[in-house]
Order: sequence, then C-alpha cells, then structure tokens
Amino acid sequence: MKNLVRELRTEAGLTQQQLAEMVHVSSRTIISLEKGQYNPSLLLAYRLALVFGTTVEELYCLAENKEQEDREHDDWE
Amino acid sequence: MKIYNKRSFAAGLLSLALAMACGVVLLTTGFAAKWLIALALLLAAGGFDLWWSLSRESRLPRADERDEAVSRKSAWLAYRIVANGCWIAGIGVMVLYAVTRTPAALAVTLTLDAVAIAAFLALLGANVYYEKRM
Repeated sequence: MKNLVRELRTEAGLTQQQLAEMVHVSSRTIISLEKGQYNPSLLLAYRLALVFGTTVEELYCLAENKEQEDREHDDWE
Repeated sequence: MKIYNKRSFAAGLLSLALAMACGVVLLTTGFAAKWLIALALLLAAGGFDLWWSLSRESRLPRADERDEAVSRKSAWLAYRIVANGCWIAGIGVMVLYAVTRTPAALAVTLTLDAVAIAAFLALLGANVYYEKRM
C-alpha cells in the first residue's frame, strides 16, 4: 500500500532504526513498511502518525489507496 | 512470586511429574541405575525450568508484528507443501503399487495418505477454533 513513511521520516531527520525504536518494532519492519510490502496494524499506523504529527489517513494516502482498490474491484467484477 | 514464562513453568512441572514417575518405578521394581539417572536428570531439569520461569530474565521478548505475520505465512506455506506433498507422493506410490504389487508400496501410500488426512483434520479443527474466536 502506498504510504509516506519514508518521506516523512527523512523530513524528520530520523534513521530507520530510530523510528523503529520509537514505535516499538524492528528496523526490518520499517524497511518493509517503506517499501509498501507490509501493511501495519491499526495501532502501528496510529503510532507512526503520532510520531510524524499527522493522521493515519494522510500517512497511508487512504483516499488514493481506496480509489485504486475500488478500481481493481470494479475491474475484477 | 510471579511466573514470567508459563511455557518454562509447565515444562518444569512436567519434568517433576516424570521424575516422580521414575521414583515410583524405582520403589516398585527395585534399584536400577537407568531409573536413578533418569530421576536425577529430570529433577535437575525440572528444578532449573521452575527456577528459570520465576526469573524476570525468562520473559519472552515482545514479538514484532511483522515477524508474527511472516511466521503465520511461513507456517501456512509449510503446511501446504507438506500436505500436498503427502497427497502427491501417496498417489505416486499408489501407482507404483498398481504396477509392481510391492506390499511396501501399499504401506507407504497408506502412511502418506494418513499423514495428509491427519493434517487436514488438524487444519479443520484449527479453523473451527479461530472461526469462533476472531
């Protein structure tokens, strides 16, 4: 799922390890999140949003991702 | 006193129960070195497990949520590989039995199919368990 974790992390001047420690996960999880390979739990997404001072909706581009999923759903039907 | 590691605590209790069983065997059947050695080892293992389970250092680290997801996916893939492998190998050996009429081939195919059926029943059971709890 598309997200702004990498952009916001670099803006905040944090390393992956530092961010991982702040949200109580491994740095591999942060790498995976930034690549969009792993979708976080609701609580982890909320923790990340709090760290960056944003909302889960913005951090995870939910409007855009929803539109894309709706399109894929329509194509499938 | 707090139990920090329930698995270690249960293992300790099991070891002590087995040690007691060894003691009963020793008392009822007379002295035998193997039972005495088993008793001593089980007592030591059980004692250590109980002590360890009450130590703060035995606390399990909090699992990372991605690690848990990876573990779930790997377990599911491993199950499919083993179960489907058993079915395929079972059918293969059944064909071999049809051709060669070797009794060993029949035993192998029955064993492989039994494993596949047992795995499927375990999957069904686990599915029913989680359907009710999630």
